Amino acid sequence: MIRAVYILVSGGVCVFSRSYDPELADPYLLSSFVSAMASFSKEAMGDDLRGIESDGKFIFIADHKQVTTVVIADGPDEVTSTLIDYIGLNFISRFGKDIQQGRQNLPIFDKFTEVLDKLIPEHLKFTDSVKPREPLDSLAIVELPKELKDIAMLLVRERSITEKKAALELGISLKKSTRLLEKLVNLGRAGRKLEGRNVIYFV
Amino acid sequence: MRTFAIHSYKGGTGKTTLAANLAAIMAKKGHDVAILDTDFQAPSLHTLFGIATRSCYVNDFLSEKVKHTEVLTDIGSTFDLSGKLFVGFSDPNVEAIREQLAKDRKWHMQAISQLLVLKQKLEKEGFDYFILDSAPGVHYSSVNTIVVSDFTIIVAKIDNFDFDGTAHLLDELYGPLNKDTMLLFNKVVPNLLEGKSSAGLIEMVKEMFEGKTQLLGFLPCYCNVPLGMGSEVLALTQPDLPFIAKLIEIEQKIEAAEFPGD
Repeated sequence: MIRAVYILVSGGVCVFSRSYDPELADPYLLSSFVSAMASFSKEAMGDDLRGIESDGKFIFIADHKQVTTVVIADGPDEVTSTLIDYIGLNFISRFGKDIQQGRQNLPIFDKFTEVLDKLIPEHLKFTDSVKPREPLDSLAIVELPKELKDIAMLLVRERSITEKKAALELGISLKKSTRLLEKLVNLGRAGRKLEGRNVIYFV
Repeated sequence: MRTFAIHSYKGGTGKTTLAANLAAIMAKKGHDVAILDTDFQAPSLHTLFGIATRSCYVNDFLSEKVKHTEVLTDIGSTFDLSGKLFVGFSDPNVEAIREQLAKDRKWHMQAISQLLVLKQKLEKEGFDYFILDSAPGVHYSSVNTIVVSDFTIIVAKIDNFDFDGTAHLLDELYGPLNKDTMLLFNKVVPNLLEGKSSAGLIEMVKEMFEGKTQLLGFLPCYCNVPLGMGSEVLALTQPDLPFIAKLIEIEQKIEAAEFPGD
């Protein structure tokens, strides 16, 4: 699930941010971090930074010359290079001139929110509360991919569970547990909600 | 703890008789066993164990109206068995069966959740075997029991309906679920188990099912079983019958069975 999108300009200044996850760190703090990492990568390794994995989240970065597009998602396969390029190039096509002229604080950039929300497929957007579309009954379990069957049965038994508890019960990593639970959410067989700071998956 | 369902493509294969007798044999050996009647459309375990009316049934547990301890009846102490034999009966009243037929997907999701909770509780309580006497065919209740089980014993008769149906179940139900199965042929005409006929039968079964399931064996048709009128568990009341001797062999095979997922 995509949790946020940032557009940075030279100097690592964040000119646009769209967060789908209210629990995510302040965009300006995060943009500074990404910018510092990107500069370090370029100088120390002579290569553009393409991604960082941090705290179970994946930060995808694409350099589009005028801007750097940053996408934060849950899984390594959720964001294709086509999508991230599409976002960055779309921003440049609309605001390239403004960026060239060094304008960094224009309210007009906020209009990109609407565009971005259309560019990102609905099922890829993180929302803090998602209801299951279909019940996770035994017939649904038969149809699930094999890798999801154990976690589905655990979720059915517990009815609501955190990714941490699922990882403990099944003896798998937290990253794998989150990935599998998110797959169930994407398939519409499980729901997700925030309780305090915990993400709860439920049927 | 090992959990297994006894299932078949069609009705009338002898699932309930086999489930009850296997449970009794296991409990006589000292294993702690729980058996549940999950054939809500045609409950029959209560008849076999000679239990009249009950105040609550498996249906009530699955609907979260009662606790599992209220539904499971301890039969083991009545028959002075070495191990525990706890039985959960399905409600045989027509009204309850009718009500059961009207349950929606949400209820069946709750039911599978309750079965998984029960499995966890029985395991914590130290039970060795949890047996689910399933409804035949592919219904919510039968698929629930198969999903909950570690493996399934498929009971079939020697006829083309069961051969084709069982092959479909293996390909389209157990396969996608990655569930291990054992195939037991019941009510086999004794002539088919003699001499050349026996070799031909085994060859035919191998050809159809090899690589898809483990062959558990062939149980001949015994007259004592129908003579019992389905109102006694022969392993408890007439343990010296050839049917029970054969079933003890089958039980030993089940106990020794190893599956890739174990």
